[in-house]
Amino acid sequence: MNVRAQMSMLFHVDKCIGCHTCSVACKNIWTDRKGAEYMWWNNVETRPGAGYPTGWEDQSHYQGGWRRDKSGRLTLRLQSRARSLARLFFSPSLPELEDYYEPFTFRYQDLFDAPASDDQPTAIPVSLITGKEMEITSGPNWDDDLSGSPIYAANDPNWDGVPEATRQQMSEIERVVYNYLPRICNHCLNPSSTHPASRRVQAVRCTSEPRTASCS
Amino acid sequence: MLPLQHDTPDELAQPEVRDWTRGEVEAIPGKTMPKFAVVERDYSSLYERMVSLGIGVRDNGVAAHGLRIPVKDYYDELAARQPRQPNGGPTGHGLPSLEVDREVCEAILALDPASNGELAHRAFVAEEAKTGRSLTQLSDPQRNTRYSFADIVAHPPRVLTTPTWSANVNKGRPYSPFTLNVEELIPWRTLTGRQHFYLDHESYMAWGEHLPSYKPRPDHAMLSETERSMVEAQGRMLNYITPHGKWSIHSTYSDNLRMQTLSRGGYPVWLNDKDAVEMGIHDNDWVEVFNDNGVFVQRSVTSARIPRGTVFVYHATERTVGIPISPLRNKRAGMNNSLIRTRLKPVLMSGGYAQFTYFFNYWGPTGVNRDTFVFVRRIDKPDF
Repeated sequence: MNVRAQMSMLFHVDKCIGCHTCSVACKNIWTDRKGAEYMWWNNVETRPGAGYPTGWEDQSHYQGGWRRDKSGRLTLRLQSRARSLARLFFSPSLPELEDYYEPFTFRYQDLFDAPASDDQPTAIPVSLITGKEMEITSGPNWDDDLSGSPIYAANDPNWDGVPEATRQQMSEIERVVYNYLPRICNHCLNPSSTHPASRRVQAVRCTSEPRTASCS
Repeated sequence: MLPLQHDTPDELAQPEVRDWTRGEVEAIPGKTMPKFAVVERDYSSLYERMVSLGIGVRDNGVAAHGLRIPVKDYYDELAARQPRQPNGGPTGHGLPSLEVDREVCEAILALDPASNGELAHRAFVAEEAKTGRSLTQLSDPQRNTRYSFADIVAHPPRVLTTPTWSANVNKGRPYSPFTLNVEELIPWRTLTGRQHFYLDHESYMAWGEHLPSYKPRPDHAMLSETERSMVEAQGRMLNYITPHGKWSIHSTYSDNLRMQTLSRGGYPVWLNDKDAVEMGIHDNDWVEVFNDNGVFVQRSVTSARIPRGTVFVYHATERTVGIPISPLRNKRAGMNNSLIRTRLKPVLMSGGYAQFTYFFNYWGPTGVNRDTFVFVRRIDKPDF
């Protein structure tokens, strides 16, 4: 077959080893600029976990997805034409910066400019939003590899209804199970595919193929 | 002084372990002890020699896996393309310059069979002479392929099949070690030419490692790295290990902002979640990890995936970003290796016998330094 077009990016979820190469490739080409620091339109999550933005699968909070109206047609849960207009500048259900994370950098220049001292200099973390010194408390993959599992994995909305005994297994080293969930918006190939609230023309391929266990 | 070398007749020099320093055998350089060579240094031209590629490469070729690959023509081409000391050197073109990073890259790409198809061919010719097997068909398809630095910047190319590695990577095949040995019947570079499961060497037998064997975790009393810190410690002693990082090749890339962002903005100290509760440590609390060797201060990660009694920090951390002052030691905290001490593994120091013979970055004593004991305590606020 002579392949002339790429229709979509697909992930082989069984082979994903959580390397985030796809995330970094997407980040580097699409959201590597001021104001977009917190945006990862492709990310890789560890499941169970809270994901990014935090708890995005909790639809009672974010009002995502679809529902059937009385005539049996699918409509967005979050908005309709009339609601969109009414809430043009007010979207209480959409995630805010704290649901993503406060992006940070380090004051690298201190490594060159620090005054003489008995200790070698170090670059301290500062916020990319305020420019002020900050404590780093969240990130785009904060629960990676079951980081903070008592907080994040334990509160995965997908675990609602899972019996307590099964949950206990989650915290036993011999029985712990987790997997990676790579997520992509596919806007770069199919601009209107996944996000009905926005239509973007981004018709260039991602520059990196996802790395899997078979190619390491 | 030069150790007995791998892939040379030196591999037959010491079938028995005899120590000349104890008078067990006569001291014979190159036989019972390392070789010696007289080197003359012209200290006034030290810099020039440092930043140019010497003519030894031109005369001797490049060597790996016991193969000597002639590179004279490519050396001369390189010298003409990036000359140092114009009109110097044997060709009058000067020696190839290694003054800037890009020139070093070009020199490697020009002289390595993995990026120069003609040299891969010559390496297979040498391997044919050594093994009596027909092998150049492996290099024929790529014999005219060469990569410059500009090529690898434009697009990452595939390395070429070469006997200086051990895989056939032709036709898009992924690198898989020893496929050349298995498929082309190139002998392994061991005493028998085969893979060895049993190591027939008296020092391996003496240490009980001539067959794969279980070794218990070192005892903290034997390691003696926690005696003094036990006094300032609160709580239990934990086993400290430093596995390979998830996203870095040793320290490379680990302090890149993108990877720091994906690594909780630091070099987290991973703790078992139940251990953390007992120690009063919450996820993302700042912690101080310490023993007699040193101290490491970072934020913690508590996780069910870490075995109880274990602390781990991915190696190898840098000290450039976000390393606070240690409250205990009152100095800038160290990095992951500050907590360990290098101990040489004795069996890796025996050489001069078959595949156990030394070669730089290939076979020789490694620092078995990845296992020790530490104490961990929570700290309220980092002081940078």
